[in-house]
Amino acid sequence: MSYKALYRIYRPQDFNEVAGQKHITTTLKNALTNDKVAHAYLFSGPRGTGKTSIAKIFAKAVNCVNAPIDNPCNECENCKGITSGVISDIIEIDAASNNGVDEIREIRDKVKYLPGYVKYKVYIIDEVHMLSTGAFNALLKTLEEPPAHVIFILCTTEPQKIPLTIHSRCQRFDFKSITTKDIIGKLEEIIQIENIVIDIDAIHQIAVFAEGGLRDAISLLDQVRAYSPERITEDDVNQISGAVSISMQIELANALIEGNSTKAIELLNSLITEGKEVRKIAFNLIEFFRDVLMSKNLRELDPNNLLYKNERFIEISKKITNRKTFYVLDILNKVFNEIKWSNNPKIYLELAFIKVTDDEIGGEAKLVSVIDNLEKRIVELENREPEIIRSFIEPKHTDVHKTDKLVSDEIDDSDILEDIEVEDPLFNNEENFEGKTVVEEVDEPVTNEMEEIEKILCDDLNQTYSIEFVETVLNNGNRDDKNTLLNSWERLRRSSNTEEEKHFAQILEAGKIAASSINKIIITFPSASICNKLMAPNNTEIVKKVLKNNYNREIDFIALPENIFEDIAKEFTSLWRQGKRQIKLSKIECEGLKNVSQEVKETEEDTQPKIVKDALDLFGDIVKIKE
Amino acid sequence: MALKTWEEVGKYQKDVSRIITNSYNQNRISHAYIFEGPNGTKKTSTALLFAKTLLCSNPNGYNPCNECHNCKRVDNLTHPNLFYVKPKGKVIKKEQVTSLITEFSKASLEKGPRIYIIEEADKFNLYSANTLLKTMEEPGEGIYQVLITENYNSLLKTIISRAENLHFTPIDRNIIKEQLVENGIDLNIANSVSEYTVDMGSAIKIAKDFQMINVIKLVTDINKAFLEKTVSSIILFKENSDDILNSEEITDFFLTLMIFYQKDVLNFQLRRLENICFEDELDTIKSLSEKMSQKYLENNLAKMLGLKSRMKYNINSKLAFDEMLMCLERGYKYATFCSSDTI
Repeated sequence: MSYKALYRIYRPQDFNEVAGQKHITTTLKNALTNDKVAHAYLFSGPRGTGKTSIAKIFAKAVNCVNAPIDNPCNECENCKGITSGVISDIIEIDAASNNGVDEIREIRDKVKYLPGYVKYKVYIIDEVHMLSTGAFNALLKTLEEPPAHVIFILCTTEPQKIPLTIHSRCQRFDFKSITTKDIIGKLEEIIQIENIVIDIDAIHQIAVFAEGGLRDAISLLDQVRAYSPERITEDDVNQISGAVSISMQIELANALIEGNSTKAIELLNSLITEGKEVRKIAFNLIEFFRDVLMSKNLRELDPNNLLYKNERFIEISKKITNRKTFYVLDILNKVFNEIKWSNNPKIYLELAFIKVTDDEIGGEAKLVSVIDNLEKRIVELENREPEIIRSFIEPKHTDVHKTDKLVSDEIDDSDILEDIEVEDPLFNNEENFEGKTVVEEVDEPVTNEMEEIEKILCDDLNQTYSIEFVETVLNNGNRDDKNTLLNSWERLRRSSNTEEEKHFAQILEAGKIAASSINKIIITFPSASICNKLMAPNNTEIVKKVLKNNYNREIDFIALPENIFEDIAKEFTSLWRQGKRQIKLSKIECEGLKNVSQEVKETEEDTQPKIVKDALDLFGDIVKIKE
Repeated sequence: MALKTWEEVGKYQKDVSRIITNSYNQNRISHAYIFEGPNGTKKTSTALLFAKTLLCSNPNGYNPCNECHNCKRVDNLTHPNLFYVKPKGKVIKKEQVTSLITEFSKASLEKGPRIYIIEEADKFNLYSANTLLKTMEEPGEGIYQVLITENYNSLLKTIISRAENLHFTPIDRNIIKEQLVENGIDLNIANSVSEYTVDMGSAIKIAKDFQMINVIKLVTDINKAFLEKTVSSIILFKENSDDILNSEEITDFFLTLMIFYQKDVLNFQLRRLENICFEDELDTIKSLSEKMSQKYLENNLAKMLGLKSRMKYNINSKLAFDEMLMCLERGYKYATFCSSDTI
């Protein structure tokens, strides 16, 4: 019955047997050979990394008959005595159960007595972080200047709990987690001595599960050996440690990525009936997706991780996006925390699976479409902004020649016109210009003088706003073409390249395509001043470029104020209804329009600061510049 | 229910029985084991059987005879070489552990190995756990220790690495269900109870407790009420709330069943009929599942689970339940999404 656990049998007996921790063993060996042993050491590091073992080896080495020597001989009386624990000068104290001031005082009192058998009295104080503050402070003085025959070795897993005053009095050694490779090496040694039959994959798996603790690894080996004495396979290791096998992990991850929640939950159920712990399953999945992230984003991968070489794993990691992986990890992490404290962990994990897969069905795509919608609405609003501003200001400035009435009146007027149109076609034969004045006279008389001047101006105006152009467009109007143009009208700005083009594109977007023949279009704007600006020869070129950029073909254009175009359109339709084709229209009246064909735009631009220009663009002719 | 042989253990815990019997045969019994697994997975009975195996004066292979003086004393927890430690109050105090350690530093009263079993080992406080560490790693000759816990994760890492860990798997739901039915319990009740607990003892206790049966009925009634315009689930709950809220056990049962019901609705929506726990209620579940989007159901479930984990604290459970029901009812009856952040 006197069986000892493997990890107790295979405690290292000299520095060469210690797995890993080369940085520590070399330092200690050198100190030993040079006989420069300090009086206090602090060993810290995670569980199963060899703190207590090295402390014991060190105690032997200093007391070995052959000292100074770098490794205990394990043959002399002293070494043997220490190993079997009969020499009472090596004092192992469990600080966790002797953590009071009284116990430490006892040490302090006994320190002054000389060792009985060997050269040094070695105090190995294990779990030293459990000492109370009082005990630590009681120890301070002794630790700083102990008698020459005393060495203290403090071991702990939690160095942060130890007062700084203790730290500064000791030589501190930080033990590292033992690498998977070192653990495998150590396990192989044991396997050979113990004659254990085991697969290479199984050794590897044990080493991975131990997470850097050699004691964990050997314990697990011990346990697996009991589970299947004849031959140990990877599955046995998985079974004992409760981990999910790699192939199962892949199945599960695949089901999750494909959005197959039913399959995922079936797999989960079968895992649970197999005896796996829900928490462990969640943890394995988290690790799996972490590995996916690693293999997607790192150039060099840990060569010891077999997963990276698995073909199906590579396939999966190619299939899933980074974003989705983060999403899955988020959900799993959250669930992992919740599971810890719950007694129905299965429900949590099931819910998480459904959430993960549900996202695949709708969530992301939905989000994208929502964003698209919002973008569209913002663009729309941006376009309407100038319109909205204008709708407050417009009436005041278009009415230089007309009335002080609001736009709505104008509409009323045109309504009347339309009514008349139907009743009396003859009336419509009259020139629109006259018809307009007739109507306008109702509101406010316009002097004959003004009419005269306008008429003269109109001839001039035709150079810029050529009625022939309008006629050709209207006569060859093509509704389909207009619609196709309109469809991508909002994209004008996006397709333009330079700042200047963008500027004009923005102006254009405020306008509407009123009519289009194949290569010529009429654009209407609420304000005449915009038309003037666009029709200036320099600007025309740019606008044409903007249109070309967007539609990939040469398009000539004319810009007209809305109200004028309405009049023209009315004239045109009435003529059309009378059966006329290739209609000739009356010339465009001036109403705020200018002949800009001769103007040299640049000089104007140079003299005007940008803000003034912008103001003009926005508010038109009502802007007065005060120097 | 004391276990008599390792074969019996094997019925519930295949791996555990295999490991221990193999170790015994090879004379490789480890000095420290941690038995971990959910409630009702026979951890304590297995630990006692383990003690009997070691102490039996007349063993039959790896099985104890169950008849000798030693075996009987183990069954009664009176054997002087068996130390059975249970937390005093909420924690295992340091004094308990130190007295254990001093006990082991002395010679034993009787011949043979000495065994200590620590129940609810997660209830160690920081001091007592650390105190145990050294003894755990290298106990004296012939000392065996078994730590039993339901909450493996709250054990110290340093303790875990010093022992062999045996995971006890929950007993298959169907076995419990069958046993309940064999015990003459209505199939419908057996269904929901077996989903609720994997502990055979408490399953039978619950299934025979008329108060618990009333809770099952109330849960189905409440869910039916979600479908009817004239009945309010909240009033239904109010009428019975005194019964439900007066004991923690029943409150938990009620909430868990409500969660199961919602899960059924979700399962139905996902066409996973074999997972449904309230099999008699398929009609209701069907109509409920048609009223609600999957997203909404998931949300509800997440909120209810959140409520469940908060029930541990001192919250006003009456209010919390009212709100939960209000939320569910609003969702089902009027099919409007409510922002139920507060459940």
